[in-house]
Amino acid sequence: MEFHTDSGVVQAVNRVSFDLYPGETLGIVGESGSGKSVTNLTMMGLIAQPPGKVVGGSVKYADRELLSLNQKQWQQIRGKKISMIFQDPMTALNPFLTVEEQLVEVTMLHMGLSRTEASKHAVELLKKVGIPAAEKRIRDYPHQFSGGMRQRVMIAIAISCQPDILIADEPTTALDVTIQAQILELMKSMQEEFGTAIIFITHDLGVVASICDRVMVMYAGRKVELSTTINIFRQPRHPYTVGLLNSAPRWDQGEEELQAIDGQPPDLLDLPPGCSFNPRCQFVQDACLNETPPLFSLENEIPHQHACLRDITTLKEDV
Amino acid sequence: MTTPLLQVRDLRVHFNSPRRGFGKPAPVIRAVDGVSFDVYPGQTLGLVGESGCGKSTTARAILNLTGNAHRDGQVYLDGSRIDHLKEGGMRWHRAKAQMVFQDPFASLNPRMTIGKIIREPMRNFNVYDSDEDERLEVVRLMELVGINPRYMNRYPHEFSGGQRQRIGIARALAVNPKLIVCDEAVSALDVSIQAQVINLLMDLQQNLGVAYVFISHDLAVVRHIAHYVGVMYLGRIVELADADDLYRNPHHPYTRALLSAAPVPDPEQNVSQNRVKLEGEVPSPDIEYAGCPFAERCPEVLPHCKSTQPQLSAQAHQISCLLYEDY
Repeated sequence: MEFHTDSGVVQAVNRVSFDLYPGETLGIVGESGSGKSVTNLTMMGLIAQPPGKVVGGSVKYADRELLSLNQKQWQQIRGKKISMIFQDPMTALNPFLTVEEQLVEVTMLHMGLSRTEASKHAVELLKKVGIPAAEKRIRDYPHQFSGGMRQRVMIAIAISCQPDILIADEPTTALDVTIQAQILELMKSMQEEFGTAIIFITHDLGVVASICDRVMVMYAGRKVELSTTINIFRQPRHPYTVGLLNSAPRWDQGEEELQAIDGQPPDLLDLPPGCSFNPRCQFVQDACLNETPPLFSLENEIPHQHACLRDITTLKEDV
Repeated sequence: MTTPLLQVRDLRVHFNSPRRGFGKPAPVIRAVDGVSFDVYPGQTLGLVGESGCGKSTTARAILNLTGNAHRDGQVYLDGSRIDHLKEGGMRWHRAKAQMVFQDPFASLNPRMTIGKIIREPMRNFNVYDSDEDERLEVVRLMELVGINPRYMNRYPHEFSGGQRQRIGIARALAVNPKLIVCDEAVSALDVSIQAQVINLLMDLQQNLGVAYVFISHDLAVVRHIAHYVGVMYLGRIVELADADDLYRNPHHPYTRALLSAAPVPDPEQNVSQNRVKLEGEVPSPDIEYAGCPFAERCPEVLPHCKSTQPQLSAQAHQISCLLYEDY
């Protein structure tokens, strides 16, 4: 995925591959500008072209190539088979329509329900996502709900057609921790009920640890590591992942100094040659300065991919 | 024990919200409702809580930055009472207490070079006699916060968020303050950069002996930086203790719920974590409570909680909860 901007071509997402299995939760972690949101917007066909341009690659859902779909074909899938929830529910919901209209719209279009059926279904959904007095609140407008309640409405809309895939882009980032805990709980129970696969985009390692089965770590538009959550947290192999884990403060252990990653976040218009992480990497070698690292796969019982030239099986001990 | 640098006593800040209908009285928002704490020289007090708990208003009220709001209570900075001062009288105290804001994009003037931004407070308070002394001090401050002094003539937009926050810190340090109030100073930064800025703030404290009031919603960040932590709920401090003690041994039901809701970056820890679940949301702050404001959501509520106002206990580990009244 490239963006053509006034200051040059930005390769926002660069050769990222992953699989998503039914019923699992895949976390995509990375800092601002790492390409985690663009990856998913591209998969959903939601990047305006221009300025965006898909340069290559393929996205397959149930044997169908999504990148070659036209708008009409997309509408059959978006919201029905694959749906999305966003960080900011206030801008994602239409402020001029009641919550009922926004819920009913989806099911009438995709499931061919009549208005009365759809209304009944909508009340059921709001009850399911834990909105008190659903029969009454359904006629309210988005601004009459709190942030946490709006996110519940978003989830209700997203699951209204029981999609196979739910893409959640920082869905709890704007929420307070106690409300975040409620929303994560809700997403887990929805997943258990409908078997939905979830792609969970976040920068919060605590959230990843509590909800994801597998994690993909991104840096400067590339996948740098992918494995099970336990493996990523216990045996990280990419120096960036290690740095990220060491720099995350934890409330359950305090005193020791945080090990920050030195240097500045990458400028996508001006990436260094070789591995993009090389200016900030404490294990940098000559090869890292010229060669873009390929993806190494460790096929133990648990698949583990990482993109680092250094053999860092002993990295954890080194740090 | 040393005398406190900052003493806040029974601070209250009430805002008048717009009328909700013709002829109806305007509801009063009790943003801060009776907050007291001390900050000692060279130490950090963390204030944590969820949106709307009054932590930012407390920060602003300390420095007389709450505008037209109705403010009550006493604030003593370095021995002098400052809460009743008008802007003219407050001016000379501002050199002692500076502020670092959340948004590194909005808090730096885009039309000034960063050298000028850092120099401005020195000029305002006539700290140095000559331009050359000021320039040398700007160079020293930039080095101190880890920005190359070569960039003195660049503008804020040429820097990343983390670098801008460093510039904001250099500006706050320019008048050698004894206290810096940091309002969500690292919340907008990515994790790897956030850790850099936290480490910088802690190094500066060690070398310069500056005290911080550190406001954040992030419990983990506060744990790392604060010596003492106050937990706020609906404009009040519900628990205030030594940081280690508070996190290892939280007493107030709200503190316990808050901690158990905060996920830890450790997959095994989260499974074993015993969750105290909170139902519902923080109620509107325009109600005057007869009893404990947390009673409606409290998992351990007692029959008299809704009618009796709990007081912050006088021990080192202060708790405002009827469960601990006798203890």
